[in-house]
Amino acid sequence: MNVTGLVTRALLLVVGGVLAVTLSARGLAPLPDLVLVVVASAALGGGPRSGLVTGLAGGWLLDLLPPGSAVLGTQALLYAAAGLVVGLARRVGPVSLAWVTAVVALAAAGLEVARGALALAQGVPVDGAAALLRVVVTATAALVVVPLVLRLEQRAERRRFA
Amino acid sequence: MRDARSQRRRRRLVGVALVVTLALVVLDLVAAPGPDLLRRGAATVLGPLERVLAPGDRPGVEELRRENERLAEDLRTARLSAEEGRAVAELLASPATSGATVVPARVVGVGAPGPQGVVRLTIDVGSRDGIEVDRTVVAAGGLVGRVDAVAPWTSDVLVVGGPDVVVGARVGAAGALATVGGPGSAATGRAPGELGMTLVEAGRLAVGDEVRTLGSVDGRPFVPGVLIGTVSAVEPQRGRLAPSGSVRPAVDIGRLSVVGVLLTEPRSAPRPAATGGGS
Repeated sequence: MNVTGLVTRALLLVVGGVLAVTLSARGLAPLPDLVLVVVASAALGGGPRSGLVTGLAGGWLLDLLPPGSAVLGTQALLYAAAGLVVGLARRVGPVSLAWVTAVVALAAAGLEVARGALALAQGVPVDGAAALLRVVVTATAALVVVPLVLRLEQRAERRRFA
Repeated sequence: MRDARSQRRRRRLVGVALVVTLALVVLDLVAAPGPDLLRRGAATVLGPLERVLAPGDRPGVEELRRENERLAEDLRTARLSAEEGRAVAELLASPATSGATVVPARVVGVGAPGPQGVVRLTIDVGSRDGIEVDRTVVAAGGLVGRVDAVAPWTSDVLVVGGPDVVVGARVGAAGALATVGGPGSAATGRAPGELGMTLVEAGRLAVGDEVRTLGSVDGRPFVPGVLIGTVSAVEPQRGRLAPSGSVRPAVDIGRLSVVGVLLTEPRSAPRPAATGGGS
């Protein structure tokens, strides 16, 4: 990946992270996990390592963007794991949108389960219905955003040879 | 050959990044000073960005739009600022802020949403507005939480119901002492959003009892007498010494827009002694 592709991906992560934080401050719910969608795009386009690195960066962004997370680095590890798993599900050649949506839905569900387990371990009750709704919304967003992001990154890559 | 070497270098870099992340998790868990500096630095840089994107009036945008769009925006802004004005007036008139110095603030960021709901949020006031760590944050309805970290322009608030907030409380007219929240209360028996509560010692607990803050020394982190919520369920005692139950919070954290940070002055004059038994 060249510099333009990296900058594009970083910008997409920042936009996803900032939108997540500021939109939920307006009381909007359920919101799609846009950072996960960008991480999944990177993983489906570039494989497990690409997913892991993008997930680590996106998770760090969520860790540091105020109000951040209670323990710094937890989101980074969670999103890195999600990126790695999505990257392992990558298929060579054209894939159907249904496959992309299913993979993102599984990754989103995995994140919700991990966060829910962490919350329960700390004595905080969890809302299963809201979590399920967020998974559905994230998968729906992936249906639209993943092809767009992949095309955008491909164009940023191609510009090198123009 | 060169490709293999660069591959190896890349792999090593990813490994180092993972190890650094793990190390920072451990450092933050043992409350070492490094992660806090990192958090403060990030809040200083990214906080103003969130303030800009917060709901509110933005002069300069309207001129760039077409006439009808401008009017629609004006109407929306007017409605929003009227709503905010009303929220601030309501906050200042509520019993939670009576007699206290209040810094009104807008909620500009809410932490990564998970199944546990909102446990951290960002408000648009910081150390430049006189905010310090461990100040009480209230809304018109009652207690919101306490200030956890302060940057020049923004502050992070830990919300009641999160794992890191334990509040000393008084329950009902008799004022039985209790603790609300914290890891001591089991999460499985409660509806999401409700708080766990345990009385400190044997006492009576009834559904509908008001739960108010007990208060801390110098009002930090909590000033006394702020409404936390009402008792919504009492658990069977089952061999435990003190009764426990659930509290429905007085404030709907998911719909907060305007909050107030209470700046109570520490007591400076000595309290005069009194003689008992008179009349």
